[in-house]
Amino acid sequence: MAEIGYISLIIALVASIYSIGAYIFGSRTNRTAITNSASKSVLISTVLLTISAVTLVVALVSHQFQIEYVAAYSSSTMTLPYLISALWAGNAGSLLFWGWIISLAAAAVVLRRRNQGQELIPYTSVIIMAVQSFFLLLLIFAQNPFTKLDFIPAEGSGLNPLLENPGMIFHPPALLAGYAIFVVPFAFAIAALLKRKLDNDWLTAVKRWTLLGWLLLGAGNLIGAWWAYAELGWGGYWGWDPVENAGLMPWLMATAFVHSIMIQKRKGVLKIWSMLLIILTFILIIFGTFITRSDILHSVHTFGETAVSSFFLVFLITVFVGSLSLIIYRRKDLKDDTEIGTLFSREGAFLINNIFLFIATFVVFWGTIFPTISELLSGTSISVATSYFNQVAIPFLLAIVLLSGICILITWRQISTKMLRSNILWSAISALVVVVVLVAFGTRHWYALIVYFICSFVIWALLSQWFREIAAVRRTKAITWFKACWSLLVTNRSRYGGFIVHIAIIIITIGVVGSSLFDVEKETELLTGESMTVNDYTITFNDLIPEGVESRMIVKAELDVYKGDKFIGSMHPQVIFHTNFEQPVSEVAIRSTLSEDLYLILASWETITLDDGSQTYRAGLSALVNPLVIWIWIGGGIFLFGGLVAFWPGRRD
Amino acid sequence: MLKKKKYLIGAFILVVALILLGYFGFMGGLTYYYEVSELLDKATSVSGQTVRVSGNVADDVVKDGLEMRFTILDMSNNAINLPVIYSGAVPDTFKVGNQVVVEGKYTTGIFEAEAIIVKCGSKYIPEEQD
Repeated sequence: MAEIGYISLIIALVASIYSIGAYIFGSRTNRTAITNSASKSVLISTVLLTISAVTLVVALVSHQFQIEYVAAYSSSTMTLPYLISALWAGNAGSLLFWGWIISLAAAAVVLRRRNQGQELIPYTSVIIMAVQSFFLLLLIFAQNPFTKLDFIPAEGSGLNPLLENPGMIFHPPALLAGYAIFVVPFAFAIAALLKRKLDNDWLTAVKRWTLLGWLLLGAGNLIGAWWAYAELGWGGYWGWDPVENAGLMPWLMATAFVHSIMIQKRKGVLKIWSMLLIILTFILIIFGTFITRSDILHSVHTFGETAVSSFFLVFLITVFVGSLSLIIYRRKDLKDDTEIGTLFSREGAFLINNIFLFIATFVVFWGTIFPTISELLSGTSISVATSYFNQVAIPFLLAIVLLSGICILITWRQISTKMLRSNILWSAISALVVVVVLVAFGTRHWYALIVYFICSFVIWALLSQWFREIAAVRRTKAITWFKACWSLLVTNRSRYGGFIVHIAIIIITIGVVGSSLFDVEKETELLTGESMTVNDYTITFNDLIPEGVESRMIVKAELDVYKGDKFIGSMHPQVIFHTNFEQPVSEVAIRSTLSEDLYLILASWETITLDDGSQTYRAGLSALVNPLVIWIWIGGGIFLFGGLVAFWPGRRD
Repeated sequence: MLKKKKYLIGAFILVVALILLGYFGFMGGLTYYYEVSELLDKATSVSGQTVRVSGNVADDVVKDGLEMRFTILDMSNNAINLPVIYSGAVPDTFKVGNQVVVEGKYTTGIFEAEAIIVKCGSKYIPEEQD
């Protein structure tokens, strides 16, 4: 069984290397027979990698514990979804999954029937196959997921109980697939540089790939944040941990790329810039993988020092030096067709937005890498507190949000300054009204007020623009509002999908700011029957219930929760001890409403003997009130929806 | 022309503001990261400063309700140790023998931790490593 998987990998490597050679030779000598055989070879590698991935899944599901990976990451008590998710639970498996997605993307590129960028396909496939070969080399020589033990263990170690959460089923594959998909836009960019075909063809070819990768990365980060919040029990969802940053940085860079594509396609400017952005996105992905799989950064969830880190470092340097020299070599062909006239044009506003996204990414990068740099230079490691990220990166991200509102108001066709002024003025006035209402209701936090001003401004700008466009269609076509709205949505998916995504970002921003500026935390110890209050909640500690179930022991606190005088329910934060896992696992209790979450953690407990000899419990509780958190997840859902609308193939494709 | 000048001045002020923001945010966020032995060597100079110290958790963990006292050992020399006091919810992955990073202040012989950051609670390494 294990042999099938391993041998498939070896043959896949041979096929990938053959296709690289055949593509180069075939397109240099113009022999279509050879290029065609190269394409077939790509498809063969896809089939082989699929066989390999399926083999590992089958081994996991059928409990073949003789395979080291299966023994390390699964057990016979796990349910089917978690058995499948063990494919990406470990280092070797996640690399196999990644390589497999790359091969699927490669097949899709080879099989596409569209004309745009057709000439670029051979070189694009060469680059994709080169990256795929790198992953295959890793899998064959450094991290073979099919390594066998010399004995057959009776049972596997199973999944870390912290990972037993729906997040495990969606977060890693979304992120890994996003990482993998970005090989396609990168490969097209390099192919365009190599072939010296630097017009808009490669941009048209990569647009939807970029959207897909970007969407997957965004969704992966959001699901990760939700998972951390619901499972890890520290009351937050984002800690600026190096590994979180590793997922955020390529997403920010790709966001800039998504926007610069639009400008380049329409105006023929920002050519070098777009090229740089997609190459940097890809480099940040490899960099992120390098830091998560090496020990150079002090992170909460590194893989520990693994053999693959040095491979990734070499790969990183090769890609970095190679692609930047190519850009320099082709700099003359990357001259813009025209100049950007004024900053008060749409391309001007996009450019500023792009630069801000770039700086924000750099700010995050600098904070992530600084501990390592300082250790190399001075011998002592200096880490950067989360306050740095919050103080420096957040203002840039807010400026980006504000600019996105202004961008929407400046249309492509030159609109009169007077129109623009009045649009901006109305949006600003309505945002001001929101702020005044907030102040009237008692908000005095200036930072929050600024953010809510920005958010209302952008929402208003978006909705009023959308409304104006719907109204125009309704008038010219004489149809109902609903039909007008629908016809706009289907005829220009990417534009209105974009609108929906922007609205989602605003909703997420509101949630993030609300929960990080107005959260309240309280820690107390309570005897049975005693109560604590946090904001207007009263929490009574009723009892402590130890339960023994099969392979685990649960200590559960029974808490009655009142809001004001009204009883709103019992909550049960608990700690679970698994017999086959050393660490206890805290299960927090969360009660979500649209306005705030009540988040309870059972931090400690003990049995106390009172003076009269009777026994009672004492529990240490941590209670948090996190306002507006739920809007982050609602916004996340809208983000996905809008992204899918933009991504979905339209009739014109 | 005059209009252009106005934009330039505006842009200049913005850039300066951003650089200042970055600089102060960065300087304010710097936290020294020491091994136990390094911290003890610099005990006087870091007194009262917020720093991070990493070490292994010794087996003398005492919990009293929310308050916890324990000792961390230098990673390369077990004989060098630092007593730590902490109050609050302890991360699930905190365990005797594991590497831990504590953030807080060192004063008069005891490290008052405000946060415990556990290393190697690794998502991806469930195997026992002791």
